[in-house]
Amino acid sequence: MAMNQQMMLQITGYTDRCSVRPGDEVTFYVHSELDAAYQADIVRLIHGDTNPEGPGFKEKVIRTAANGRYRGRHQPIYAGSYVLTPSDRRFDLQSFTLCAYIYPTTPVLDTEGVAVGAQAILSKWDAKTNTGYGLFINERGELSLRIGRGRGNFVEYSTRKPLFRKVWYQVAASYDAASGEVRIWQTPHVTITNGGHGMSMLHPLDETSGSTRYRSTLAPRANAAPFLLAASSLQAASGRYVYGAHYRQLPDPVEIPVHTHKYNGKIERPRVANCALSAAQVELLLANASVQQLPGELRAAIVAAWDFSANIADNAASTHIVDTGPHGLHGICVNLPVRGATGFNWSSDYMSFRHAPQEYGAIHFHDESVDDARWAPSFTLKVPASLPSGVYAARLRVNGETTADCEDYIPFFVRPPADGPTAKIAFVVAMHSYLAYANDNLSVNSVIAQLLTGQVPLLQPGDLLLNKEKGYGLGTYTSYRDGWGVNISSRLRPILNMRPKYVHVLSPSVWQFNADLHLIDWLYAMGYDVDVIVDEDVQREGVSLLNQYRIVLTGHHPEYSSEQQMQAYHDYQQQGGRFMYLAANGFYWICQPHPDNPNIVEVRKGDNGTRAWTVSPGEYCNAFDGKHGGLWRVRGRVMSKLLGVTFTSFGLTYSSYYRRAPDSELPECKWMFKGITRDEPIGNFGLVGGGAAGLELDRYDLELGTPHRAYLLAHSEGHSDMFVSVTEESTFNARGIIPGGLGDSNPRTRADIVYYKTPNDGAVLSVGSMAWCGSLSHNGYDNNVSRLMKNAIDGFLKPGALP
Amino acid sequence: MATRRNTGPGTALSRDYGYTAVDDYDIRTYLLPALRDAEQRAALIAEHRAHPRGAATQPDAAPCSPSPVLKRLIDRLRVVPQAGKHTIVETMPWAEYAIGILPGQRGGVVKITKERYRTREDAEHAIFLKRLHALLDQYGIGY
Repeated sequence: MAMNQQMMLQITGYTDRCSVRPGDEVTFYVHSELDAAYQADIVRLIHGDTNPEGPGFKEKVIRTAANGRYRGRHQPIYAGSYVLTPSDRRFDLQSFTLCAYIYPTTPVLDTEGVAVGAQAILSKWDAKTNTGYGLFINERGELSLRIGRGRGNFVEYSTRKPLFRKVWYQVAASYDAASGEVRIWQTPHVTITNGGHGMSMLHPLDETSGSTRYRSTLAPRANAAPFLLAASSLQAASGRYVYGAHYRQLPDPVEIPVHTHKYNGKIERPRVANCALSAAQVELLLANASVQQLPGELRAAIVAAWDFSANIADNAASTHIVDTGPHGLHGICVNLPVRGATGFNWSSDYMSFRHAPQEYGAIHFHDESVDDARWAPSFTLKVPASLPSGVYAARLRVNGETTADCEDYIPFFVRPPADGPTAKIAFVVAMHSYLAYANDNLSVNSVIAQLLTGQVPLLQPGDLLLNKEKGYGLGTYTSYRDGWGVNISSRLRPILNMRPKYVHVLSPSVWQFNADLHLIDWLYAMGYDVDVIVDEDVQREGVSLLNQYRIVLTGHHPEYSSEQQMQAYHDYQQQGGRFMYLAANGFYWICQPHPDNPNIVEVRKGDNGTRAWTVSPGEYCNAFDGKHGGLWRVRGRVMSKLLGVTFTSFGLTYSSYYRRAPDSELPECKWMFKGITRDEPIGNFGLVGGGAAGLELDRYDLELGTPHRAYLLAHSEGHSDMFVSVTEESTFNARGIIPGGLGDSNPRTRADIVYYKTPNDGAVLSVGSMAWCGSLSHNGYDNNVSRLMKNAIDGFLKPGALP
Repeated sequence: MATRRNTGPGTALSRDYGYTAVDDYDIRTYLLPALRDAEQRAALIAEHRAHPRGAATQPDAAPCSPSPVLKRLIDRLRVVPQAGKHTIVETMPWAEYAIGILPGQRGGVVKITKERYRTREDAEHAIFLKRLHALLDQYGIGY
């Protein structure tokens, strides 16, 4: 193999924050696959698309004290959510009972047919030394109990009956050290509404209901492992800690283990008792979420009785797990399992955990979820005081090599100093949308990706590393291995599809971060000063931040937005701001940051909308704010109320062009078309699919909120039958039904350029296409897309009323 | 440890027989007549060769769209299971593309073969031919 051929990426990383000001510090966390040293240089990113038909890659090295050569180290990811309760002598038991309700989602195999292996439900188990005790699902999908005294001196007993996927069970195991008696049982608990199957799943019942007794001479040996739910400990102490941010309830850092035996599925009402309880006592113990009203004798036997519904209030975002037992052995969620999940008693009478927390007492655990990679810091940059606002990155090169497998960029964004803006134009980075698409891994995992794009995916070095690392925690376009959609995405881990030079699976070329650099490059090429701010800044500071700018620009796909951001953009438009939406399918999904950590967002894909997955019944509400998730349209805030256009179609393939519409010749509008003839096609060129109208398309719709005094400046045409209608527009599928048609059969398949004025001399200009910015650089930036943009920006920059 | 196996009932339903049967009907009805005919088969291959990944729409020309049989064929070939599926791996940006084989699961390793192409379009067409040949083999059609 030739020396310059690239294979899997050898280096990557992330930062502790993404939006910084001059003078701030930003810390980088770097993984070097082969422990090799690397050169780090801070660069300003200008154009990230390497297509030889465009301007090519543009970066500028910035001299900083952080630039230099660093020793590399391999930093693994420890994915998989669980609940940890720190090691406590009260868990060092001889006799015991373990019980809970469980809903396994990969009892034996995952959805790809891969064996999952043993999974721990409740464990005080050290898997390295085989000490302690734990309730497991064994490799054959049976409930099992492990008791260990060390090394090969351990035993496992099972019910000898398989647990079915998507069925609730009451499970329990007990051990009496005096008699040596072991009892273990699993009893299905199926109602008409609570699971993935109906009652007939349990006929015949004895296929999955089981109770067994054994005699054991082994009592558990105490160990230093923490008590875990949904995992066991491979190494009791890992040198990694949880504290601060979304662990703000912790007064001090808590060390977490290296965990294993990761469980996929739900758990509810897990309990530990210090003696062997009878089946009737277990029934009583599990009967209520809290155990405070139990008879004193039984209550005295309780070591811990966690109630996952106890601190559900306006949201279910806390990582604090309440123990209602006598000792207050509270737990900590690690890697953000899904709280507020429907429980074994979910009746379908309620659709929100806010209204009935008692029916949402389950937590759903997934063995691939990640809230924070928790890598050791590698180096820190103090942002130079004179550094202009812009898009920056730490460029890492293994041993100084420049091939793509030895090079990675960790982006961050520098906003202007705190004393005020440095430009009249602001570009808002759609970080929440980048997070939603983070590490989708669709090239390797998704069958449908080839149909959506009409081509075989291209794998780059980062894609190869991403698949090896099982997605580094994945993103909201992916499903976990148990088939449940990924609803939480964190920035505190490498995001390998948020990179310059990256060719994205959902585009014939680039997408999101790398596509947004098309706009950055054009702004600089045309001589505009622009401040770069991040949507998390808008989240925190609201309209007062936006009002510092004459013009606010979006990138090409701000699809995910929070309520606070929606309000800020609305207020900006109403208070005289001039808003340019250079995108399609923007402000579509509700996306809520964690209340205590802006680096983590949540998305629920409801049962409406063009979506990668669908939430389970009853789980429509965001854990992070308790409000209904899904489409903004469902919450009465369809995007056309804010943008004048609504998502209408997508075809992740080659693009088309626009034609001018009659409104473009009106006195109010024609200034934007100076230098563009009436009949010339607009944007029949570009770096995204060869045209300015492509990927995803928005159209005006007076019924859906386009203002009645809006103008249609142009519309696209000629989209192929790869372009399909959005699902929320079509209530019936039928051949010939226009709202459900394809590019060649639905006239709604088009991108509309819509313009309208707002109060106080404000305005909104929407281009309705994700490919628009990819055409700006064509012909040395001299083309009619560039001309229209420049006319609009120059006009918007002028004070006073618009024509 | 006992060697007990907790397998399902082993019915045709549990092997998704219904889906497989209708898929087979569709292939025999809509694709095989064209694929059995050497001339029609060659025409489909040539049509794919011309635009393996599609093309942008130009003013005054119809959008680039495959003929109905080719459309049905490439859509069917694209939905084969991920495990063992061919893919394209960039080995030198804008200069060299390898044929890879997907592991079908996260955590697996993508196998990179020695088969290389100068353009992504060439690699796309090569994969189309491999998938087509596999389908022809499945139905005992010589090529």
